[in-house]
Amino acid sequence: MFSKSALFRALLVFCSLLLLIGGAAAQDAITLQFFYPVGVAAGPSHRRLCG
Amino acid sequence: MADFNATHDHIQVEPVFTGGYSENMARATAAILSGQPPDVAILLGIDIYSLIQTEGIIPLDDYIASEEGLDIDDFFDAFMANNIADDQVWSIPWQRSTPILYYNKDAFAEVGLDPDTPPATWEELVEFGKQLVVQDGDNVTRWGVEVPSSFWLFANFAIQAGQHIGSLGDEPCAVYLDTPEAIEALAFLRRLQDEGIMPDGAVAWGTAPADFIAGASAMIYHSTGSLSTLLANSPFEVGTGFMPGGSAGYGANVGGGNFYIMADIGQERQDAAWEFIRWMVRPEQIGQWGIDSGYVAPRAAAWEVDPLKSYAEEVPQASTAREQLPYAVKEFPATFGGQEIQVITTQAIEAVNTGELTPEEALAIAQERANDVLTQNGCEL
Repeated sequence: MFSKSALFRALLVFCSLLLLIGGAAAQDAITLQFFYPVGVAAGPSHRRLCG
Repeated sequence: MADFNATHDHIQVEPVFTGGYSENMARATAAILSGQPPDVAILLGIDIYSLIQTEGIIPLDDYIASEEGLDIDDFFDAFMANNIADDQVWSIPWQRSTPILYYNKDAFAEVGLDPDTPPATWEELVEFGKQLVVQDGDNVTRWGVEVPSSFWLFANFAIQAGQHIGSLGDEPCAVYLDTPEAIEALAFLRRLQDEGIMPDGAVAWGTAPADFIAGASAMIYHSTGSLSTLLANSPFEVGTGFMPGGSAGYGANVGGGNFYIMADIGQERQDAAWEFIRWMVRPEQIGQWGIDSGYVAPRAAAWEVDPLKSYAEEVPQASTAREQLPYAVKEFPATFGGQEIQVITTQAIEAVNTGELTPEEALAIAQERANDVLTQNGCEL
């Protein structure tokens, strides 16, 4: 029903769309910068002055 | 955090480890002032006024009240005390704590004390401490008690003597270091040394748990955040109790870290930060962190579900700090320049611990220096 080249072109368009959607999703993902204190699980070696 | 990232394609959290709490605050402040703030941070409750002063954080009331909100009444009152200013909620409790008394049950039994009954008053602390000291000639091989030279621990003694040395209300310009109650508290700490129960000189924060594990101190005051470490490493049975009461009874000030969302990062990032916080403080999640760390899970719902519910039944020491919360108040000092005032207070304690100054002298100097910090931050005293 379809020629090989037509199938190939359809596959190419499909893959391009997938890449586009994936790229858009990647661009939409937010990366939050989270400042977190080290050594907060207090113990003999932890550095801070209080709990 | 890895679980959050694995289950949230649209939000990824990149942790930036910054040092201890004071370094974390310094770095966050520098980032805010340079116009490149982080999105979310865990900072102390006492940092609230400094962060508001720099316009670095946002109030969270709208998020709390939204459809994607949070039952803020589920969080223990003592752990919310530092998180509210100008009738607005500015942070969500995460890893919270109070100091508690840790004691060596084996040592108690060895000297004829009841291993299930820790000292309940200052006088009992002295009495028990004397019995627990072990000497080899002039050399003390086991101290009765160690209280690290820390503003955070001293604040509890002052509360137990009847005076919170910081403000209990929304008063970022109030510090009460030279009151009779504060002097009584510092004099009691000196007395522990004069009675030969506690080592002379300043006691470092990290020294006390190390000495406790090594059997070189029978009792220590320390954060409940040290519980997991002490239980895992002590070659004896570890008991926990409330900090003994003074002339005004039991008393504690809280501590620990809270989630703040930064200003000037845009609505979309703030929304994402809120989603992250809501996920982190789910009862199961925050309960697991309490087990792993020893910190007090700061919301009631966490104690009513597993894993914390079962853990608290198996490890009764885990509940001591939570049970002490009815006697707990705001973390000291909750003022402008709070971290500077903490350092000033610790220096006063060290001066008394080392015998350089009397409690009256040390606290008079500390009050004067604290007033200078407050004045420099715009307070009219």
